[in-house]
Amino acid sequence: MGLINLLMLGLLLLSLLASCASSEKNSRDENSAEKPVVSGDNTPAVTPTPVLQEITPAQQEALALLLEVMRAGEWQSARELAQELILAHPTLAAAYANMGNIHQQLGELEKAEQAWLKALELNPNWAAVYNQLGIFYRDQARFEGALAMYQKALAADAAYANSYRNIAILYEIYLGDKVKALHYYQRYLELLGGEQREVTLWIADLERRVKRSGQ
Amino acid sequence: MMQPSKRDLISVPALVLSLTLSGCVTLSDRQPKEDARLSELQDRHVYVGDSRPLNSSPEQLLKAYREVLQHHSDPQLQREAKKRVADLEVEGTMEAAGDDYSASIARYLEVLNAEPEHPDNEHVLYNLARAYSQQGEVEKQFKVTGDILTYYPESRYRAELLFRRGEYLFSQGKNREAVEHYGAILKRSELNPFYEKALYKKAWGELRRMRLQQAFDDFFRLVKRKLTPAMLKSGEPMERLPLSRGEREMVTDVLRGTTLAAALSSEDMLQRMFVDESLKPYAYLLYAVLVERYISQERYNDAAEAALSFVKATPRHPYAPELQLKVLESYRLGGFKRRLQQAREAFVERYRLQGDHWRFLSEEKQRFLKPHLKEINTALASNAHALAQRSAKLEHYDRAIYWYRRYLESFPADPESAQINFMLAETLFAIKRYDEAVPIYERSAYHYPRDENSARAGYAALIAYDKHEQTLAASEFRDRWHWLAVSSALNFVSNFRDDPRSPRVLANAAQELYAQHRYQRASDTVRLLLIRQPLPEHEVLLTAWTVLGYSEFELGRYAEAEKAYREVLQMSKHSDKLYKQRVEWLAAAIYKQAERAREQGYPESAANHFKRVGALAPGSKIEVTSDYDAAAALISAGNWAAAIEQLQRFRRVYPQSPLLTDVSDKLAVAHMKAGHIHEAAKEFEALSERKSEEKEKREMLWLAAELYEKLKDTASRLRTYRRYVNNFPSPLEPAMEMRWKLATLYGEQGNEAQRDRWYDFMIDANANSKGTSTPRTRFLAASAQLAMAQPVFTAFDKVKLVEPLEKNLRRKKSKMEQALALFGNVIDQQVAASTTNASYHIGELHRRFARALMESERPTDLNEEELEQYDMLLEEQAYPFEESALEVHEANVARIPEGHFDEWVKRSLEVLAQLRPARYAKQEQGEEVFDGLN
Repeated sequence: MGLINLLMLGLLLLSLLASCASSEKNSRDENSAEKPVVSGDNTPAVTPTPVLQEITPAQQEALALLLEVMRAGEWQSARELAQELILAHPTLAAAYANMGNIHQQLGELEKAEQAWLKALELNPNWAAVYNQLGIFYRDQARFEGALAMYQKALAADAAYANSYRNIAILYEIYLGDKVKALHYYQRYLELLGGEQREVTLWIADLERRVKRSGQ
Repeated sequence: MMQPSKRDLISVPALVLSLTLSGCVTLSDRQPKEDARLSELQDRHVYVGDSRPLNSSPEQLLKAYREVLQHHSDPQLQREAKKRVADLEVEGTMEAAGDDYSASIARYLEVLNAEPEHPDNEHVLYNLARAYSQQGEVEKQFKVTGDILTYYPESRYRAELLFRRGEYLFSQGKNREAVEHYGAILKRSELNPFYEKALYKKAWGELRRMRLQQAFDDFFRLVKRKLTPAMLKSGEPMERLPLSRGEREMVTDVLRGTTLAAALSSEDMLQRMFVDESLKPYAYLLYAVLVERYISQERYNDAAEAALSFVKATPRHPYAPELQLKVLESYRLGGFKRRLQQAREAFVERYRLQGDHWRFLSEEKQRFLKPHLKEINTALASNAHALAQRSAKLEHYDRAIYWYRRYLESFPADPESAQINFMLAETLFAIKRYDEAVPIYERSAYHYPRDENSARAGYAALIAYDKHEQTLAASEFRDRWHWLAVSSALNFVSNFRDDPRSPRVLANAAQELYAQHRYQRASDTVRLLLIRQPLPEHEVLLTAWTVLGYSEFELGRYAEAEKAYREVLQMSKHSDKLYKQRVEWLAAAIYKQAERAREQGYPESAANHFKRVGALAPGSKIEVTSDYDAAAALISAGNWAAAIEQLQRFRRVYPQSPLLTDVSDKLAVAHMKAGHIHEAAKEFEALSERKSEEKEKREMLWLAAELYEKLKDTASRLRTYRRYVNNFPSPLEPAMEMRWKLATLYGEQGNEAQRDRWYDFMIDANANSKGTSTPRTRFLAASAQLAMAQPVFTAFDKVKLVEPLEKNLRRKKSKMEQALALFGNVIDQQVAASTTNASYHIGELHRRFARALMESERPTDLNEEELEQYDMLLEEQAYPFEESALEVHEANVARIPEGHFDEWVKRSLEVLAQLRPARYAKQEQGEEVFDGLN
């Protein structure tokens, strides 16, 4: 499927999503009309509880489309799709997580951070998003923040290898702690398994330097 | 012939036996008719024996009886006829006012002689006695009456004849015999008609005989018969006692007799009146008579003393007041002024209302006394006041005050009290007891019904307030007093609106209200004055507008204050002493309106008001300030054009104003806001000259420089930068900034010499800062050094190692050393941000030198082997530089954990990624996309 065709399909899906959203909205309006707020009671009559709704096939399709557009590097289009997805499915953490990447690519760093944080709010156990935020913070020289994010990522998913690698780099280059760096590289290597020549060399180099520096 | 009845009566004129004793009075006409005999004065009947009433006239009867005498010889008839003729002749003589009764006497004697033993002779004798009496032959009458008493001891005429004979004897001065005769009557029944007459005459007779005690007792026996103690209980005066006129006269006469007896007695008989219980009730009547007697005898002192003795003896007697009044009358008649005064005082004191004596008086007596009390009290006060005015002695004034007060205390609601009250106030005022005078005057003015003194009193109270206040030391009390005065003034005005003094009083009151910070009251009050028709006089009106202005100003109603002050100014002349002051008031009122508008967020309106100050109150002290504030308000309003115009006008009008500097400030801001950047810059630059404080001078010049920078006005920038650096080398930091700007500007112009010169100045300034350097100055100095080093680095980079290789190598090396030295200096500054920069460049100098060596042009005359050896040699040469480069960049990167992660560190990291990719080209791994359906 060519990109243009993908976009056409995307717009079609979005219009469907939009109509779904509006019909849902309308029905809510009707409900609220039927159940007016009880006067004399200061608490809201209805306190909507966020419920993870089942994702419809159409929504799955919309997400898949978004990822495709992102991979194609069409960041502006990606942003529009992501926005529609968020509107249609405001509790979908993946929509926000991807929106973070899109904003980052577009240089909208503050919005990127907010989007990732929102994704984590919706899904606090998403190691990959913590990891993404860790990289983001490291790039901004917010090393402590980066470390915290990597650690949260590992707390959420102790098998998430990227964060071992990233935390090791952070310790080695940015925090000046070669021993800890070595430790994480080794964990990273363990998780990757098999022949990892590059990582093995990194570990060897680091071990040498640690030894030399007497750390 | 008809027999006349024995009980027939004929009417005859009464026989009058006059009593010559002075003081005797005619007896009562209340005797029973059938008992009336000789004593009757008029219309009395003489008993002439039995006879029938005849309808004929006396003349006809006389004629008839005379005919009987002529024509009948019957002795009995003759006797009766003679008797009748004699009686009728007596009567006829009396009626004809004749005096010859001899014919009748002869006929009676003839009848008696004819039958001396006739049983009816008692009556004939009685009529004979009467005829003698009429004939004036009183001694014969006395003899005949004696014969009757002798021959007819039980005569029905006995009491009368005894009395008549007593009267004769009394008239003859034969007092003892007279008294015996009267006494004989008194021994008979008290019911006999001559009893009281006899008692009366006996008393007088005893008095003549100087048997004073007997006389006194007899007099009182008579009084007691007429008046019982019960009748006297309430102390009624004689004229109001239930007596007939005759009885009253007799009782009065008797009492006079009693007083005579007492006067003649060597004993104090009057004293008995207060001791003898049976006499006590009569004492007051006796003393009343006694006093009257003394007065009639012009014995005024005795009269007064008698009256006083009674009052003293029985002070609570209901008649005591009357007698005390008699004391006053006596002294007055006697001309005893001092005693009269004392007696009056005593009287008023004794009978003052609510006093003990007063309370014991009956209502009737109180009613009687009131007019006297008022009159006497008034006289006392008036006399004392008059005396005080003559003598000017305080004690006399005090007496007058005392009596005025006594009057008012007793008769507070009397119509006369208004006048008395006013006089009291006047008296107090006269002796400067102003504080006491005030309430009295006010009572006259506002309490009593309105009269001609009311307004006068009201005004006098105000004067008294003022006079007293002058005597008070500053105190809370004086303040209160003052306020009372103001209240009184307001009262005056509301009560006496039409009084010609009212406007002035009102104006003064308003002034005082203002002075006491009662601004609303002052305003309300003074407005009353301003609506009066006709309008008050000029001076009062001026005061009124002034007070209104003051008050409204204090109340924060500045527009109203302005209106009032404008009126004041309109009424004033330029030559008035206060004219300038009044202009100031007006200016202040307008200025305050402006201030308020400003505070409330209406700066345009404020500006208009500020401008009005100069227009309406030219020459006021705040005119300049107002003009200035107008500009400031226009600035607040954002009306830049108007603000600039106002400020420029200010500068023109007040070329010497100390506010000019501020004006320039504002002009600069206004120009800025209006987009007149150049003008603003010029103002700031000028301000830098005008300001006195060095700090301000610096700031202004700085601002000017910044604006010129914005305008890209190079000449002005250079001028202001240089001036800044020259004039304000310290504090170091801004001066360094300015040098930096200068250097940068020169750099931009391509004037490298000047640029570097200023970089040098910066480096020197910071080096010689003597402890005043700051991180920023060090950074700037380092930046200057970097800037100095950068061109050398560029020059180094440009030198290619091409033929002539040796020369170029030397050049490159030279530039490298030069640059290394310069970057080294930067590192010496120990400014982190510059250190990473310098480190990067030092690293790069080494790396690039090594690379340049490796990339240097190879000699063309080398064979392959030689070339290989040459390359090896180059590598050997380059290696240390590469190692150094690695070290320096790694050192730079090693600063990351210390918190240094800037552009230059990143660049070092990038270089290292090339030099040692295995170590430094490591990339974090994240997610390109998130495909999980989370």
